[in-house]
Amino acid sequence: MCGTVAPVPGIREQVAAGKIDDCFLDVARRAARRASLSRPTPTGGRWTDEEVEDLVLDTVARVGPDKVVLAAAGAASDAEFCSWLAKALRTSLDLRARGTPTGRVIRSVDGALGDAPERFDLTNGHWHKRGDPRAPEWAEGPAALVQAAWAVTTATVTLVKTSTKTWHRVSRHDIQSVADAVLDFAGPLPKVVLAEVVAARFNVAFIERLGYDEADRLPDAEDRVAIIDTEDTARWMFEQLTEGERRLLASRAAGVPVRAIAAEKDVKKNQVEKLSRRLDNKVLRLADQIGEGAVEATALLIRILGQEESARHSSYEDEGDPDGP
Amino acid sequence: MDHDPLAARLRELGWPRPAADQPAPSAGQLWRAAWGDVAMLVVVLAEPQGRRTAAVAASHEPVGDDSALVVSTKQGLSPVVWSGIRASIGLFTLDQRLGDLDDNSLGALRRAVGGQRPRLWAAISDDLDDRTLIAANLVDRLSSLAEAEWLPNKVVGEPLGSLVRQAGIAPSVLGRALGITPGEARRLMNGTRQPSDRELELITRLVGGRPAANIAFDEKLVEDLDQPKFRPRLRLYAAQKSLPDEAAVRRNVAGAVLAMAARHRQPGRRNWEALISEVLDEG
Repeated sequence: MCGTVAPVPGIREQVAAGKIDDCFLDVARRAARRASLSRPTPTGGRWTDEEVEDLVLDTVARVGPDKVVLAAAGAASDAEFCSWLAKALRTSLDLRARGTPTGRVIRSVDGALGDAPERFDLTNGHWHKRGDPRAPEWAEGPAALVQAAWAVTTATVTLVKTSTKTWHRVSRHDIQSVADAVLDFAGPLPKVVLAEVVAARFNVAFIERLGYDEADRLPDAEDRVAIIDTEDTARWMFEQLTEGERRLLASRAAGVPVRAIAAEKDVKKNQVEKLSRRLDNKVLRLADQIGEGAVEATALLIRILGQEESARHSSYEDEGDPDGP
Repeated sequence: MDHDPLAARLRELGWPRPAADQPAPSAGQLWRAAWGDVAMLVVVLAEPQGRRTAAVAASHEPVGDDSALVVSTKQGLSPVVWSGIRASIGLFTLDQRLGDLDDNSLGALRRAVGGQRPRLWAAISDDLDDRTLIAANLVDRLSSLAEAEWLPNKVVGEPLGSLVRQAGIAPSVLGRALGITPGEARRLMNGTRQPSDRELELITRLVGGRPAANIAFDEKLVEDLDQPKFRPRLRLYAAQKSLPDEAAVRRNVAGAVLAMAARHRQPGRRNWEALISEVLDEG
């Protein structure tokens, strides 16, 4: 299985050769149908065949046909390509649901900077620091601005789509700190440019690519709005981790040795060690920001992930699969 | 498919036409490289040297670091090339050419590799920048390709020939024990034929020790067999012979080519390419 639909043998090779045949159409339709499950339809009611086809078409148009071909060419297997296709389809649905990522970040930046009128001001569509006499003159592209943004240490790692009321304040403080540094460096900036920099600084572009997701596997706390407790905090920490980081944390929590993790994930031992260091850094930074209750929340997160991993390993052992997961 | 409305609408988007072939590798070509469970896009940076060529990592993801640039191929493909992620890879890992960089792109790539960073994206300066994960993935894949090899590992120890001779076993006796001709046994002892796993096991029992992997394939034969043009036929051969992986296929074919070459008595340089084709056709 490739995450959503069973891959058709040979699909990767066909698409990599630029052949968009029945095989691709069949897989794309089935993957789109699967991705649309539990998602609202564009018109209400059930998803029609035409709406499913529109989703396929929108997705290919959004990423570009040449990227579809390159993704197939760079994939190791039919399953890897199908998994990429499924992610691209889900991303299209997410984008439809929330408008463009830039639009969402512009709203976040406007909200955060609007909260601090003593520090920031908006004039003619440009954000600037209050009292900054410079005219808007930045014309060098965003790379240097993103560099300046990364010089600011923050607790927020990524601006996920489900920031709760509690943690929204953390994001706002961090957005203000980053905007402060960037506007100091460049002078007044158009809203959209500042939003792009903030998006790059908080990894917004990677939400789907790296599998950041809602904490739907943690205990449900929906009915406890705005109550800061261990579960909510653990849920927030979970949202800050990529899918790969969650799996790595789970493996480590279950006591799986680094060499075994590397073999299971088919990556090199030194990469697992590098990613482990990054993960430690990330968890420490999150815990540092949480302050009181961080130890309990981190312990809960590790316990739940570790239990899931142990259960996964025992189920493989029970089924007698010598290769494990 | 002709009457499929989705197919018709997709076609209107304008698809690239990847080359999808296996020519002799040269600078500026965009390839799919693959070995075992690892695959990725690479751009060949220079003319191959022997069995290897310098390559740089490329990706379909529209993201990079300050060393990365977007290149264009004549076939309508525009990957992101991470000019800072480079390695020397075996030619046998090159699977399929996708396209050729246009002159502007090749020039820009050469400048980037020379140290002139394009800075289309910011440098990665923090571990928590998620681009580190993408870069780590590319580095990991490229280093797997750089480490790939199909020639047998050199095993420290006595070569097969000297172990057999020390045990006082004549080629004809060895041949009978292994169920092969004395000529083949002699080639095993001279290191011009690779023993199969079963033969290796029998020899180990016969001489009382495991011989070092002393197969010495002709250098030129290995270079020729590494050419990407043989890869599709090697895959077919593997399927016909039910061989487990590509390394085993290549060793098997190289062994068969050496055996075939030994039957040709005339002196002079072998046309290894022709012999490889012959073995693959017979397969």
